[in-house]
Amino acid sequence: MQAIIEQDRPETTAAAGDLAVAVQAVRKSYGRGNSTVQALAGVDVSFARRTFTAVMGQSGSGKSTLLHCAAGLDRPTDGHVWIGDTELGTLSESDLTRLRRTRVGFVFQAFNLVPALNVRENVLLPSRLARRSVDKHWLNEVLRRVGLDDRLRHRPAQLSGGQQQRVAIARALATRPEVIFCDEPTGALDSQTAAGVLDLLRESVDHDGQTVVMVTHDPVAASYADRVVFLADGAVVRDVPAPGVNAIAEMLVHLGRPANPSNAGRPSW
Amino acid sequence: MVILAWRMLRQRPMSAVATFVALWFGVAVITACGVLLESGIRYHGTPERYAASSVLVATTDLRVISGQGDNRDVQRLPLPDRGRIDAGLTTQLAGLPGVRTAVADVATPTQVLPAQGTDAEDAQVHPWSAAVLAPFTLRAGVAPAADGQIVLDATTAQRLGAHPGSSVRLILGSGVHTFTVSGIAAPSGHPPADPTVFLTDAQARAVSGHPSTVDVIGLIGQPGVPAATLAKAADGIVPDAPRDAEGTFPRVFSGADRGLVETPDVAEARELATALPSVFGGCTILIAALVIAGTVGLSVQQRHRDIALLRAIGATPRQMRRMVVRESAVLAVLAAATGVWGGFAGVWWLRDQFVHRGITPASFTVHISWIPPVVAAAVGLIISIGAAWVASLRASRIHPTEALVESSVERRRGGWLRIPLGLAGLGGGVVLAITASRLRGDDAASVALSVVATLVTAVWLLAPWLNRLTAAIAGVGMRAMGVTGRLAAANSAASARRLAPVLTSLVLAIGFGGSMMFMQTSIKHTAAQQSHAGLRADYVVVPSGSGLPSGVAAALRQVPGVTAADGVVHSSVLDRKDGGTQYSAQTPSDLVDLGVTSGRLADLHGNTIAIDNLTADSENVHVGSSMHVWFADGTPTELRVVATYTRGLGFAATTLPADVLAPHTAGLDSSVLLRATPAARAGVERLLGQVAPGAEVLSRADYQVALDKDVAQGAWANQMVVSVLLVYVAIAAVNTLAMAAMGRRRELATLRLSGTTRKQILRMVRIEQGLLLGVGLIIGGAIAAATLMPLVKATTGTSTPYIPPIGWASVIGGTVLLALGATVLPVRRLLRQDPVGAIGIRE
Repeated sequence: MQAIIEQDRPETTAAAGDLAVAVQAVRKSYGRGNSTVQALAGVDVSFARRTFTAVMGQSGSGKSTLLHCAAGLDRPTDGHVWIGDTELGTLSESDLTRLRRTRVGFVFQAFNLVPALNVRENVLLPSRLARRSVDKHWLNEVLRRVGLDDRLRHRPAQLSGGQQQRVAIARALATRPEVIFCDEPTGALDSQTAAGVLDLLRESVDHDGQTVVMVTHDPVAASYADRVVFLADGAVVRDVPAPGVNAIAEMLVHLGRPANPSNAGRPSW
Repeated sequence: MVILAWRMLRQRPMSAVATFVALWFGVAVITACGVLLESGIRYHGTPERYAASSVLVATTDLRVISGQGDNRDVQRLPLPDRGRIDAGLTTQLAGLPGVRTAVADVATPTQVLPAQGTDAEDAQVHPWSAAVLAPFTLRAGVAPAADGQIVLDATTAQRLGAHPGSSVRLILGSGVHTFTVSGIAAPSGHPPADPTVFLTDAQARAVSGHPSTVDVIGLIGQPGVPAATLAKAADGIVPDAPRDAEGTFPRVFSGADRGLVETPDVAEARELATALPSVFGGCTILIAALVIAGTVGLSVQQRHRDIALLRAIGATPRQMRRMVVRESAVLAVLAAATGVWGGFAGVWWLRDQFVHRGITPASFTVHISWIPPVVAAAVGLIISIGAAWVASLRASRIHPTEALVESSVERRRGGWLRIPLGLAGLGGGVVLAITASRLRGDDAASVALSVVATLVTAVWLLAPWLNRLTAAIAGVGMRAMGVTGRLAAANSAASARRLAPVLTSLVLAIGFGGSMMFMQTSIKHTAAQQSHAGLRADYVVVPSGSGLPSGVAAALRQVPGVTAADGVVHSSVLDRKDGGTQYSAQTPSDLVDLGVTSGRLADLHGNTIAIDNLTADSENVHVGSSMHVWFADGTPTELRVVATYTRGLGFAATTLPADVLAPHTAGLDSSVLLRATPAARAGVERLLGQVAPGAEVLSRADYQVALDKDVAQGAWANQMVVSVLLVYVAIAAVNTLAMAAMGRRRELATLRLSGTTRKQILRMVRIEQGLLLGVGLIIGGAIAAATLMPLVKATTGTSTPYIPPIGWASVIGGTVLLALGATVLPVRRLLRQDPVGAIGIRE
């Protein structure tokens, strides 16, 4: 199984200095004793800078847990995570938080924004929490790009779902993080609105050299990525550079078969 | 961060308002307590009758030592009646350097009325020589020169239409006497509150009943001698009480303290104004702490997702803690800044009521300094920030990944310290309740507050588990009530922790309200019952003022149809063994059946006493033992217990022979009990017109009604404060309930989107609320019972509290109305919102 992954891994994987995020032998289990659930069963994966990676898998495959661990939202039971050249395992909770607000951006499926704050304040929130001044020029650029420069005083409740996701992206971009993690960013949107949000993410990789890691179960969303990593039962089973929508859908269907760990990773076409 | 905290507050107005209102009210009540306390401490009355005398010597209090060693405590209890001073002291004081004159004054209560008619008014008789102490100067006529001559103060003269040469009558202990007005006098300053009449020195001493002792000695200094010098000189003659001595000792008063000497009312008012806040201030702080901990905790819980999001995008746990604490600090500052004014207004109102109801003299004034509002504001801030700090620990434990999960399921974690603490509180409450059952009256009442407080705190600590337990038990029945019942059961089980503050506030309202309200009704009921059962008189003669002349009973016995007439003196005795506890005292009458349980009332001769069973228990005496007491004027004595009886609450706790008790009172009867035929009534009234003008004859039933009214009036201040606290717990409960209801926006929207109708949701909410209410009523009722039963046993001798039907109805009905109103109305409001919008943005 290890061999297959090595084989599938894209050639672009380069020297450590060029990695935005590296995950090594990460395990994560919940609960104790007999009710232990193993969410990640030893995952090795890395994300190069200036790339857009989609992480796919069935519900319960461990894709969200991987994202939480890679982003420093949650601590792995075992293994190592690097963001840039910082090893997260050695950081205290506060240091981890500080790292998140300066070097990591987040876009979640919903409830991204603080309802009490308007658009502009939401976008500025991570910088304010970090007590850092903001590059006004870049801020205006980001807000213009997400197309909300005329709604800066609106509250999240006054915006549509797509607009809320755009605000979330603007917030993620505003601090120029090393990596942006997205958890089903289009999960609650219709396909047309979703396309707009995905275009924004793609653009940030192509224009600004951002790194984006996105968890999704939507083949269309995944097709915007440079690379798709498939998870099943807490392990990486496939790692494919930019397959098309149909190929992704096909692979997903086969992953969905009753798990047979011995051949789970074997190409089935 | 402050801006963020402020914005988040505005986003959830309900939780902010709930905390604010609870804090505001708390700060207001604490301010009011503080101002009342300070006003009481600073209240000295105003010297009017003694305005011209810079130094006074008088005996106004009783020195009592309690405890030993480090616990030794010397108290000065105000004497129920003025203590006496040896008249010989006057000459000694007059001989001091710098003293121009020393004047002995004797004040005797009386009633003045015109030569014809029954329009009597309370007044004080003084010797004419004491007129210089005000000074009263003649405005017409001359000074009294012989027995039977009187000088009236100008106000009284005007009221009676009297002028030099007219006749007026005085009701004195020895009967009704006619005097000739020799002159009319007025003080140069404010006239005293009580009307004043002057007789010759000899006659004034004679009518006082204690010709060899005086009440007050006033010193007037030579020109240019300061009061302090005079006071210091007087101190040399009137030494301090010896360290270990108890009893009455004359003291030197100068400056503002002189007001204390003018009337005993001043000391009583001081006592009340300082006792009320000390009992209820602590209680208010506790209610505020419980309620605010609840609302702040709820507001953090309801912002669970917001906080998780902030954590995810880079807020440190410390920043979250600070946000919660600052948010509360902002509210506390606002509440404190406005609440103190509410407190001031409250005290002013209370003061007017006190004066209006005759509880304090009109000279009682509200004294406002910076201390009470600052202390109240500080207490408000400390409570609020303390509560926020505890809640912030929970906030900082919220994990950032909780922002990413779809639903916010209540997580069961931490708080295991609550169980041992809660159980300890429960144990402590029970111990306190047992302690309370061994105390009497006021002491027991203040311990009762602690019992309620401790038990409610225990419930607060244990509430999550109590909720889970009841949800598990009641769930079986609720699931039988169809789909809404199932939903309600599931909700109740899942939100045990969320509902903890709600349960606490309900239990607080019921437990507190029940025990305080029914404590009063139980005492009143027992007193009325005993008085009904024990009073054998057909008629009772009551005075219009301070009392009836002692000869009235004897005179009434001569009226045809009257078969018995007994004058009854009411006074009090203070226990010398144990810190000067005050007991009511009376003289015996054959027309009262006290329900004797041991000994015989017939043995009441000489230095003897009969005592009611509860007092006997707490004094640990029985027939044959001796009791050391002080009379109301501070005279010590030793009495032998000759009987014990049951009906102490309806009559008096102690009964003493008339010839033992009366010399230590003003010499007036409090009432005269009659056994007479209805036909005799007219004759009685006719005779009273001569021997006690203004007195009234009441039938037994009317007398008991009047008695109840007196009791109610006496308890007004207590009842007032209890109602304020009741209003507070009710507001607190409404806050918490409404806040918890408003926090269900998303949950209710989800239910509606999945096809639950408005009607079903309302039914579900009502079932949930019914369960919560049931548990609240049971636990609150248990707490009220645990508090009431020992207390009622201690004060009435029966262990069943008396709860009038209207009491049941108001506690249960009030709670149900409050609880349903505070939940169903907000839920109705939530249901008017568009569910799709409600589900989207907020939790």
